Amino acid sequence: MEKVLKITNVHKAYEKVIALQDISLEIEAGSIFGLLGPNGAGKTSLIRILTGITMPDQGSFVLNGKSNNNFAEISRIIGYLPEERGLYPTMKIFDQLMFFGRIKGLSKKEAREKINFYSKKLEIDGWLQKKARELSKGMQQLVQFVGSIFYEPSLIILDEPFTGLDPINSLKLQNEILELQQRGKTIIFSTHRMDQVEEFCQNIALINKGEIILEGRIDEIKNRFKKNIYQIQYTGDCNLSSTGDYEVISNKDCVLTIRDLTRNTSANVLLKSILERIEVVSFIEVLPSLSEIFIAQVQKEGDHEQD
Amino acid sequence: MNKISAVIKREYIAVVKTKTFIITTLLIPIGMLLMFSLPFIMAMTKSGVTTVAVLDESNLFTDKIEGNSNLLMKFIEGDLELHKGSLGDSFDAILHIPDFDLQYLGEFRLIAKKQIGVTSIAALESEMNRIIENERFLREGIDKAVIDKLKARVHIESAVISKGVEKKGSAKISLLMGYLMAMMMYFVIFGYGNMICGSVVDEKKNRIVEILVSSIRPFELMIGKILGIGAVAITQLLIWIICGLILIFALVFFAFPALNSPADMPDLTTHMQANQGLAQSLIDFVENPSAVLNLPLLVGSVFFYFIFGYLLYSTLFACTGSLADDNNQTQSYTFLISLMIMSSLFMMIHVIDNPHSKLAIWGSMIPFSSPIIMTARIPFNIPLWQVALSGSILIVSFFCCTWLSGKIYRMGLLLYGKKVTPKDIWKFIKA
Repeated sequence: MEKVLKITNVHKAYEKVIALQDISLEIEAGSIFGLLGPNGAGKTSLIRILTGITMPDQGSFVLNGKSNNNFAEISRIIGYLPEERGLYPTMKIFDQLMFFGRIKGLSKKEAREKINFYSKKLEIDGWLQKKARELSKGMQQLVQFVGSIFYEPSLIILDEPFTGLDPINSLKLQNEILELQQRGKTIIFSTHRMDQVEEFCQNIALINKGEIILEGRIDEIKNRFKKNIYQIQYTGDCNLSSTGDYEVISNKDCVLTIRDLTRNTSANVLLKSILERIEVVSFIEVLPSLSEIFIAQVQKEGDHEQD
Repeated sequence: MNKISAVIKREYIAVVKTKTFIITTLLIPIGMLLMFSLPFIMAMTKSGVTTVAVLDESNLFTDKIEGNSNLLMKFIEGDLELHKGSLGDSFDAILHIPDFDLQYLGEFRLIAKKQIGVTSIAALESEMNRIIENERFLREGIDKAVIDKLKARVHIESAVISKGVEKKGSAKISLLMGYLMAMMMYFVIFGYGNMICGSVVDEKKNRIVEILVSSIRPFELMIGKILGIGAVAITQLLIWIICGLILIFALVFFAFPALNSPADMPDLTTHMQANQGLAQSLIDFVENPSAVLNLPLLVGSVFFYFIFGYLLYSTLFACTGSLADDNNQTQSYTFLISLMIMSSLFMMIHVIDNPHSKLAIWGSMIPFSSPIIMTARIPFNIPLWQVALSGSILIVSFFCCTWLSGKIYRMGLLLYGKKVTPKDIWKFIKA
């Protein structure tokens, strides 16, 4: 896979607080990348460096072959929806979008065409002549989203894009994000919401205290942290109890949860030994949710610190 | 460059479209016009005429008090108490003059149902003084006509020799111009500076900053903002200057000639007598401006100081705005800037009386006071080297200030909910 963004050894400190420590990361072109981490982990610091708002103390990054020192070109190909976002309250929506386009370097004509196209697409074209303060918070958020993508950047950074959106607008946004990906855009998605990350992202990086503590494909990470737990649905009686090979975690309403203790590479062995005892309807492996991995990893880091 | 022009345009339209801008642009000239013309209007209107009945028991004033356009005099005889009953019918007030000793004077009373205006009373007093004085002269055997003939009224015509050419005096017109320029400078710096500060705070408060600085360098944003509000200032000042010129021409061609017929407005002329020199200078100035002032230098340097004075202070206002979270917080920061502007203004009041003093020269060299002090001094034919030096210092300081403010602005913009200490600011500059 082609890498669109390469971050190399980025380091950033504010006074005595280290915000980012030796961050290196590669992001595949056309992927949706989840940037995860608890509050204050350094996500925003990293995003601010990528968007050129701040400069790294050390390290660099290359986006689409352009170095981070080239602010004008980098800023043109990055779309950014910050978590702290707003609009000019008394300015008409069209004028604001036009202004955002102009400071990105678009010509008036180009900006007008793209605003019209995307506002129709996200059904905000009826509000273009309204002032921002006349719109609801959710409407403003859609406008802000359009404001961060209409100039068709190749990398789009979305920081908590779903907060404050109702289910209908959320869905609209989700579809648009997936469509952007299909059109070859790369998206960095920063959030606390693990369910959305699992839904959208192919790759993630978990940042804690300025360091990347986990990185990779979601399925691969889940496999790495699986605890060999299986869920078996059965009919009839079941009087299974823990043995040296497996441990029964729960058994309720014909659903049995057990942990394989043999550390076999294949689950077939476990299944075979169970098949003799109960009538199996289904057999699935329980992978940890990202949320569980997230919490476990962050806590582990905290424990390390206490040691 | 396109990015900066986008910011300039946004800033300009955002301000010019507001109701406050439209209202202040229109109301201030109207207010000024009213302020200037009210005395004339009041003097010219014949309405509000007060009829004063004079009950003169001394027989000294009978038929001698003439009144004026607002005071109609009527002379009556008889009992005071009786006449009091008819107050408000055939006259509005009774001026009761009891028989009195010319040397010690007596208790004169003006009795009315409604309080009579101060100017009317003053007019009556001055007429009575004149009559009593004439009477006293007469009794001492002095001819009043001789005294009038001997009275002197000196008007010094000041002249300035520059490059061997003598120019007509300009002290009074210079004073007026100096004040006018300095006050305008003060309002420009203060008014538009605060506008910039407010605009920066608004962007922070509305959380737009982060979107902006991911598209445009903070420095470009700051410059765009300053130039945008600068364009607003030029628009507004042009409107006001045009209104002002119309007003001055109106004064010279309509109001001052009217003043030359004192019979019509006696109390106004006494007030204007002190300013007669000024009125004459103004008329001279309008008729032939370059004979009174060095116009190219004046206009050129006023433009220069307006532009750079505004630019210098606006960078400071922009960076204080970036350090604050909301409008209340900016007040403590802008206080320091206000202090600088205010002290220049106080300095100016001294300087204008003594435009060649040490204070004046130093004040015109320090970049934070030179815009106000120099604009006040320039009408007074000051040495060119001073203008050149002060101008150069101002330009250099502007570039230094822009560079420093840009650094502080960049860091300040992204700070939320933190009180910035001078130590922090020092760190921003070093960063």
